[in-house]
Amino acid sequence: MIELIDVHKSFGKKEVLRGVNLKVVSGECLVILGRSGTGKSVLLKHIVGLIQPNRGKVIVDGVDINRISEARLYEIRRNIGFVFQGGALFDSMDVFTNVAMPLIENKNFSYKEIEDRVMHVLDLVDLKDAAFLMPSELSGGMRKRVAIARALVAQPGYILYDEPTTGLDPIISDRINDLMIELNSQLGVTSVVVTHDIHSALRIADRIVLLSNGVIKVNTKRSDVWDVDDPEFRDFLRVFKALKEIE
Amino acid sequence: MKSLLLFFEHLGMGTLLLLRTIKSLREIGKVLKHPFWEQMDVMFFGSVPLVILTAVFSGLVTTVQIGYYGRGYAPLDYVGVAVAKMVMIELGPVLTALIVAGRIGAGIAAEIGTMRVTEQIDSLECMGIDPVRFLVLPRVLAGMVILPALTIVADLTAIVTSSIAADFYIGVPTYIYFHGIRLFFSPKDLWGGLIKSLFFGIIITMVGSHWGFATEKGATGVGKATTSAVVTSSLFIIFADYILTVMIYR
Repeated sequence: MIELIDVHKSFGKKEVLRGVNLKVVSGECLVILGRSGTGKSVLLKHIVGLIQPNRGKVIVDGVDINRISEARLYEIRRNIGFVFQGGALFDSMDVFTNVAMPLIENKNFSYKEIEDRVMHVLDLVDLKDAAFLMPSELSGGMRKRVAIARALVAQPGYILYDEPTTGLDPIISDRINDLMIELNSQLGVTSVVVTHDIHSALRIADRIVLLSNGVIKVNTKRSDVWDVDDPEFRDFLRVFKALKEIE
Repeated sequence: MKSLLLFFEHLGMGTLLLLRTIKSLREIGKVLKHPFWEQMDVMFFGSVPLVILTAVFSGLVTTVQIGYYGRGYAPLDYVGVAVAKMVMIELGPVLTALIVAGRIGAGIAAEIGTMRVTEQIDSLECMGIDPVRFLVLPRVLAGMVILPALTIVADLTAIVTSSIAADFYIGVPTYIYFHGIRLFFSPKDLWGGLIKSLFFGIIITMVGSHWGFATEKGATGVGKATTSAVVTSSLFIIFADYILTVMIYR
């Protein structure tokens, strides 16, 4: 379980998080919704300790990750896959090496085992044929899928997605959504997804929270979203409804 | 005042990076498998042509100048030993280091800086991989080996070129030139220069890595980091050259 307790974070004079309280239950897919620039990515980076809070606690599997040694933090991180917004693929390595990296560096696998695992996850994201391409040869959607494969390869308990569908065309976005649903249901991975894409949020989430002005304003099950009366949240729903009507 | 604060901020960050690099030596086994050799390859073969070219001209210039200064004051038989000592103690290590700072130091800052702004370093952290061990340690170790190796190449090139120039410009036959070197050669001239170049290797790779890690604000930031890496390494090389010269030769 992941728990954020009264997390505050400022950059200079800009207060980004102003007391965030959030629990992520094992096995669920939690979507953190919010407009651009509201600190969603900052919040996500707190969960892996890439950013430390000015105040408050971040607890992963019962451990306050800001009060442990670096070695212990690395150990915890190995159980968390992180899909960055731009993919953050290593541009000097091909797709295979990118995906294999967590296994090469952290585990004592033979080359055969690494190859099997990498090809398996590349198959899951439908990129088996792209294994020996360089990141510069991939489209945006392919890069995102490679990033997902890389996050998956070490079989982590948690996967954090930072804007997984941003900048992609609707068809690729839908494929990524399907993939996230599959991973969640078939592999039992706990997912935290940061997005401003309400369409994606309503497809994949078990629970949706709205981050606004540095605090969690709405925390609802997907089935109850239409009962929420927060004006900002309703704005998101209105966009969704408008899109549906056009469809 | 702001610049002074910034200077101390970078000095502190650089020192911390150095300590983290030393700490990461306990995982040296992982580094020696592959990344170290890759860096050795990139640093050595990429720099050799530039180093040879610089050494050729420094050998030529030094010989002509010594011929000019010494004419009428000192026997020209000593041109060889004067050039060799100057090259091994000072010109070889320092010029090589300055050239390599422009090539390798800037390259390291640009590569790590780009990785910083495109979240590749964050990505390493998230996988539980220490970026200092993964990125900095192999470069520093390779720099410690490559700089002395390049310095030997530079020394040999400069001395051979100088011997030809001595014959051509000031009429000192090659056998006299090398006889002079043999008479007055002291092993300290060579190992002193190589110790200097080992430290220069650490400076260039550490400074490049530091500026890479400190990069922010996209492509502009990468450009600034690259420039800063070259300027800072050059200054540190000149400063360290003085300290090491005093320690070794005084």
